[in-house]
Formats: sequence, C-alpha cells, structure tokens
Amino acid sequence: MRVAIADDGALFREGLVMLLRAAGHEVVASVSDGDQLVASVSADPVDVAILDIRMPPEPDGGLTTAERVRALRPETGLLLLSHYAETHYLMRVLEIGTEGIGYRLKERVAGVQVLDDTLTRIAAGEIVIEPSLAKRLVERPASGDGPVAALTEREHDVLRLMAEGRTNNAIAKELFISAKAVEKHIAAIFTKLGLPGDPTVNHRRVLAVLAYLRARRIDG
Amino acid sequence: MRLRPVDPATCELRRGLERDLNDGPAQRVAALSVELGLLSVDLTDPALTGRIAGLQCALDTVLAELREIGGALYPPVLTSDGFGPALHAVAERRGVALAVRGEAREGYDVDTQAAACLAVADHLRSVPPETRVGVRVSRGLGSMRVHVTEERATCG
Repeated sequence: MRVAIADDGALFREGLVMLLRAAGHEVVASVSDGDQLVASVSADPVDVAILDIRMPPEPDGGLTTAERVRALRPETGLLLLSHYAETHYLMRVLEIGTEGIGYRLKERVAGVQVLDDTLTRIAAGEIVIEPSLAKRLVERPASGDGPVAALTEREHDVLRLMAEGRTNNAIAKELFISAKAVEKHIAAIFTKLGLPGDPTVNHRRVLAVLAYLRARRIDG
Repeated sequence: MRLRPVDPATCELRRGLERDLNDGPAQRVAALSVELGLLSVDLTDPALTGRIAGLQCALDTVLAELREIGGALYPPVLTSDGFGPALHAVAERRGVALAVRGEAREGYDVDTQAAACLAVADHLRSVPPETRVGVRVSRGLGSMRVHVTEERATCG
C-alpha cells in the first residue's frame, strides 16, 4: 500500500514510518504539517493518508487537512490519529466522510498486525473506530436502566463491534459465530434500541449506532 | 453552589502543562511502543513476541493515565472547539449526563471560555457518575454567566 504521514511529533512519526516499511508498505511522504501533506498527495496520490489530529495548522490541523485531502482526492483513505479518544473528534471525523476513514489512538497502531488491519479496512472503504472508544460508548449504565441494559450479553458484544465499524463477517469471526447469527443479533438490537434505517448498509448502520450511543451518554 | 472562574494565569499554566504532557512524555511513550512493535517484527519466538505485546499493554496503561491527567488539566476539546463541546467531552468521560443551554456559542473570547469551562469541568469531576447536570449560559454586562444545576439519579 502507498501511504503518506503527517505528524509534527518527529519521534513517533519516524517510528511509524519504519513500522510501515517493515510491514511492506511504501511510505511516499513523511511530513510535519497539513499543508505539506496536501501538497504531497496532490502531486503523488496515495492509498491512505495518516494524520495526527493535533498538528499545524493549529489547533486541529489533522481534521482540517483531512477535509482538504478528501475534497482533493476522494479516493484516498484517511486515518486520523490522536493522543485522546474523544467522541467529539470521532463525530468530526465522520463529518469529513463515512467511507474509507478511521480514528484511532496513536499507541494502538504500534503493532504491525493492528496497523495492517486498520489500513486494509480503510482502503476497503470501511469506517475504523478506536475500540476503547467504542467500548466506553456501549458501557451499560450502573443503574441498569434503559434499552442498552436490556440487551443480552451476546447482543452487547455485537453492538460494541458495530460501534467499532466492523462488518458482519468480521463480527462473526471475532465472536466465533455464523454470519447468519450476527444478522439475527443485529436485527434484535435495532428493534430493542428502536434504531432507524437499514442495518445492512454498513456505514449508515455505524452512524445510527453512534448517534444513539452518543445521545444516550451525553444528553441530559 | 458557587463556582469560582479559574484565573487567566492558572488557565494558561494548565494549558501549557497539558501541551507539555502531550508533546513530551505521551509522545515519547507512544514512540517507545512503536519501537517495540518494530522489534517484534524481526522475532520468530512466540514467547518473546508475547512478552513484547505485554510491554506494549503496560505502555498503553501509562498513556491512559497520562491522558487522564492531561484531560483534567485542560480538556483537549476546549483548545479546538470551545466551551460547550469541551464540557460535553468531560461529562461523557465521567458518565455524567449534561445539558448545556443558552448562549454557549455566542462569541465569548478564548480566555473567558477557558475560565468558565475549567471551573465547570473541575466540578463535573467531583460529582458522582450518573448525576444529571444542567448548565445554562447567559450573557451578562461584559461577562459570561454560567448557572449550574444538578440532580442525583438515585439515592442509596
């Protein structure tokens, strides 16, 4: 895969470049700010661009640059990295695009396998969401009230994996169940939570699930 | 209850400390984890790769702890998106239900937003999870008035 990276932290960026090369990817550009990245991908297209959210132009150059890259080269996958897993940033990432885009904690892409898996999913058009953020969003309330608390253990696992942006096949593989069983669980979840829309269209399903979970967590 | 706005010098100090934490130790630890990932590529012994994965997990914990401290010093969303989104981010992490109403988006300057946000954010960290907190913002004469109400979900 052809990749470009922009991060103003040289130490982390250079490490990631070596890790990408070790994983067999071609690093076309490694730069320290958004403007250089835009110049690079417009001259020399890549499969995925990796951007640190907090870099120049401040305060959140990764997000504004990702928007510019998406407008310039809609076919380029985007991986936004951050030191913080914030729902607010996730929502801003999904405003930029809902296909071929990801949001992950920096340290969580420090292994070849996870990095490969993340890049492959983004290049395939999926949404990739930081698992620790998905886990926080689907946490059951301590009071044990509400529709999420009414889900079975298995349905709860499926909900968490949907919130990570996983496809039916990936959910089936992760939970050691059949794709058919996953479909059944998803239909049950949509009914119990009263979610709108068609659960078979992956990116719409992710958005519906996230909108629901976010509203549940923060709207008083 | 009465919350004191955080004074400008303290806001600036807290903002600087969060930035130093992010640009210094957090970045170094994340880079160390990448370094370990790189080391793992060349190893074939599953016992060794397992130990490296264990070390990476330990570094993840260090970063999660640094993140907690950084977020408490100065919520990262405050720098990029201002008062309302920052408070929602803090509340969501704490499992506190929050409603922000009123003129929260009306062009207050950065220092005013920070002073008010940090005061309310510090308070949000002190309430038990599942409290419902209401924040109403109104414009006073050259000032930002923030009214905070709260309701405990259950007792006992």
